[in-house]
Amino acid sequence: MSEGTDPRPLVVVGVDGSRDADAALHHAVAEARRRHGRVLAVAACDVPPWSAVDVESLPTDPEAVRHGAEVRARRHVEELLATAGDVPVTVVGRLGRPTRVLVDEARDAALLVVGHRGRGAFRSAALGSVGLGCLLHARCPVTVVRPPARADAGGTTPARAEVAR
Amino acid sequence: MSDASAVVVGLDGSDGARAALHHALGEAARRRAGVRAVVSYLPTDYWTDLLSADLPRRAPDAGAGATARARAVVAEVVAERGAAGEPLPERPIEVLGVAGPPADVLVDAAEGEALLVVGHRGRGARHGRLTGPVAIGCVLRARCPVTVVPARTSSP
Repeated sequence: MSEGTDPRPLVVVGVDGSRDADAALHHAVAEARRRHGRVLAVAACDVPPWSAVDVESLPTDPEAVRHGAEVRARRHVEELLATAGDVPVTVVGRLGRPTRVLVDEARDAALLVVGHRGRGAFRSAALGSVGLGCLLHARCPVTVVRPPARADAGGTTPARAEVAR
Repeated sequence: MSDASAVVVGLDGSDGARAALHHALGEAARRRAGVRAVVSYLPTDYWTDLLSADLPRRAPDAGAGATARARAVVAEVVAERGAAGEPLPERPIEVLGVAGPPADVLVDAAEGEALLVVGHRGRGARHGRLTGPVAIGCVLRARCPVTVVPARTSSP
């Protein structure tokens, strides 16, 4: 289904450090492994409009914001995926509204994976909205993943067994 | 291991559901899991759309008709995938008819399973790309991962 420069099937996943996004990441890695594909983990950071915030508290350089988010996401993903060495995982930070960013990154993907709920990169957001937006707009199949129930006993997400923490 | 549990897919005769079935068969093949295709139906009294148009006025058993149609769709899609050389699960595909509202039926059927797959839009929605209420209901309530599959744009 996915045609691009890299012939391996692409699984795109949104990461924001929330438990749901972590579950989504593990799910995405498991999906990519089964497909002999690769994972693109996307950390979207939405810079609020100038009018909505105290201007002096704003970061001055959007690229610095994006880079910071990417570095944090990469560190987080590396910690989380200590055992996923067989699946290539790329982590990128992107500026923009998470839904649009994810849908755009997943335009040629075999699958887009999102957490059921998450949090904005900078502020908590009533989520489900990103997941919902992806369902509405993505052209590829979208999988919505919940974190396993408390106590981590069950295997709600297939990749849960691979969590190393 | 969760690979032992099934991939559950909702069927309703729509293009979205066919695409969902395609996706579910591929998933199950990769996971070496079984597929349970679930079709929900409502008693004839509650049918308000063209679902009942090809049935006799007083269908004695709505479930039998719905399940038979679902079986036919499964056979077609399996044949399509076979012809295209796309992977199919090794285990036989289970087709299950359950009375009740679609989202409730699917969420119940997917309880404890590996994955629930539903189409982007169900019957009665021919245009546009809005996600159907059944898909949304499943995503909101199912405990397992839910995959929503858009209708295949190109190939039949």
